[in-house]
Amino acid sequence: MKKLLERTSPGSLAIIGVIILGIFVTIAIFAPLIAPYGPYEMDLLSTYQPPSSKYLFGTDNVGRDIFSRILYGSRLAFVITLLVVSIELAISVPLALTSSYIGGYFDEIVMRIMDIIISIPSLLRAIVIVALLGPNMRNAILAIGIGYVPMLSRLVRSVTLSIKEEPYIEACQVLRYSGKRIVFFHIFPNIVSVIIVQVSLDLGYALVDMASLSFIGLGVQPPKASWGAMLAVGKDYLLNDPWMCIFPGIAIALLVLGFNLFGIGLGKVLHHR
Amino acid sequence: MTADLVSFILRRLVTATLTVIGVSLLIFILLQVAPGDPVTLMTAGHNVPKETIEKIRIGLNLDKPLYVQYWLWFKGFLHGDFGTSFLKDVKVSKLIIERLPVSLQLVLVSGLLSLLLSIPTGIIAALKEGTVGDNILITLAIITASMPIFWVGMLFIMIFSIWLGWLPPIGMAGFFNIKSLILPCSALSFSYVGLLFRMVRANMWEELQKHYVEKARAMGLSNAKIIRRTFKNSLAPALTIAGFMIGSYIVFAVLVEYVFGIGGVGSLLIEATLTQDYPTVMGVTVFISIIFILSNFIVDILYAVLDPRIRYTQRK
Repeated sequence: MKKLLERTSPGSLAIIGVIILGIFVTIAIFAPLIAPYGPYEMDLLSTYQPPSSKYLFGTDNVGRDIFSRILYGSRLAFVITLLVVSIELAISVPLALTSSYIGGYFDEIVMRIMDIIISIPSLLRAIVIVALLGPNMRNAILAIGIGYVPMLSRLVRSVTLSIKEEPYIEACQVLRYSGKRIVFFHIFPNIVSVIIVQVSLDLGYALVDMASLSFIGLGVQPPKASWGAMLAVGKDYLLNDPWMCIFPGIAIALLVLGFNLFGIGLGKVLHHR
Repeated sequence: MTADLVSFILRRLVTATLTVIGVSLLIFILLQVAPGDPVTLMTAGHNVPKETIEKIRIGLNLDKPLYVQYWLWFKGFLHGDFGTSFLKDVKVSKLIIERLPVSLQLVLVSGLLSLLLSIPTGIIAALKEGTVGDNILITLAIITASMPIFWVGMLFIMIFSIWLGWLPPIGMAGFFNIKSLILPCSALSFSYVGLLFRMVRANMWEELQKHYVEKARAMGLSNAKIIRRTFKNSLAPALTIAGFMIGSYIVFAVLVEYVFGIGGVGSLLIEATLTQDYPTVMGVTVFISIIFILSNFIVDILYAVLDPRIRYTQRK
């Protein structure tokens, strides 16, 4: 048994991650079937109820069932993180690919701008953008998504640059393949694995950043059932009704754990190759 | 100090300064994008005659062309003037200085805590790579990294203040008061301790695979000496993260301050954001960014001092 534990393969991390993610995805899809109550269903006679057989995780300050809200919250969590990552991918990948392929001044300028953006800590960036555009979910998603662009572009760019020097790319150029063709058919496939790892990690970061923003009141606004917003409400009742804080936080931590395990495990597997 | 070290420092200094200018420009542009005229926001709810509004606009230099406005704004920075708050009509710099001691304590103690926790465990984990203990530590590191810090803060309050009654839940009493610092700083350190641990472990392990270690072992050198040597060599990349960490901590401190009811620079930012006090938001943002750039700069220099190879590499 001890030997088995000692030699935990790198893939096992990713598998546990996938299992956790799978559970959450199932919850997200089947939330209406599993949840005993609707996410906005209020019962003003049953506010601040501790966990019981009727309300698995207790109720909040307006009598909504926390358990149901957490189940529905998983949908929001996935939608938000996937949107953030889509924005990030849509901007950084084409930008980095073309920039590194063209090279020269264009590349330099783009990279300088990225450096400047990175010089502002990520949460701060998001706070500022949301502060300026107005505190709602859409702006928060935009703010976080744009904030992740420099990291991913840098990554894609460095990988692209190292591939650019490979002989087979030169061969393509000799054969007069168009630049677009080279970039999309030859450089891109090699980058995909790196992107996937970074994206899985970014999904986790996006969730935490979004929850943080919602916690301060800059992200998802009530009465939406976002785990971060639930924590924001629960914060004021820490003393007497701690269950309002415990469960949403566990949900966030578990889902992020799933993303992290998956991303880290995947990274290890790809490196071992 | 050799010549190339000096040239490296100068190069870095130039980059850092340009970055600061770039950041201020970016923030200024963002400020222009913000919906709503600053004066309208300032006078919202009050019945202000038109001439006064005009006077305010001229006073805030809003009638001048954009690049002039930027130049005046930037000049202000050089004199330590980060603008004036809409709400309280106080200089932003004054607000920041009031809150600075609290934030400093939080960030420094948390940073120290993170390093103290991650470095020894990282070294041990590297030495015992592959064992059960190592895997447990790695799992712990990933788990702590997945937990949102404000939630960790709330958990700490629940466990240590409410259930056990050991430590005060909120507020800061005096300077470097350990009791009120432990909880927020521990929560804050959670955010990077996992990453630091994994970095130290990975670097240490790589170093241990190198030939000189085998040679030293064969020569019969004591384990302690070997560890010291390898550690010094593997320190460098962890340092880069450390620099990054300090700046990030100031921002994460925002969340911790909010949970623990402590008034630091972070809470200032949040209050300003929620009250649409744009000058304060911008001033604080630029301030924090400058600290961030500064700490990265210092770390870069340290890195170059420790690892001479870095001095010759150009930016990629």
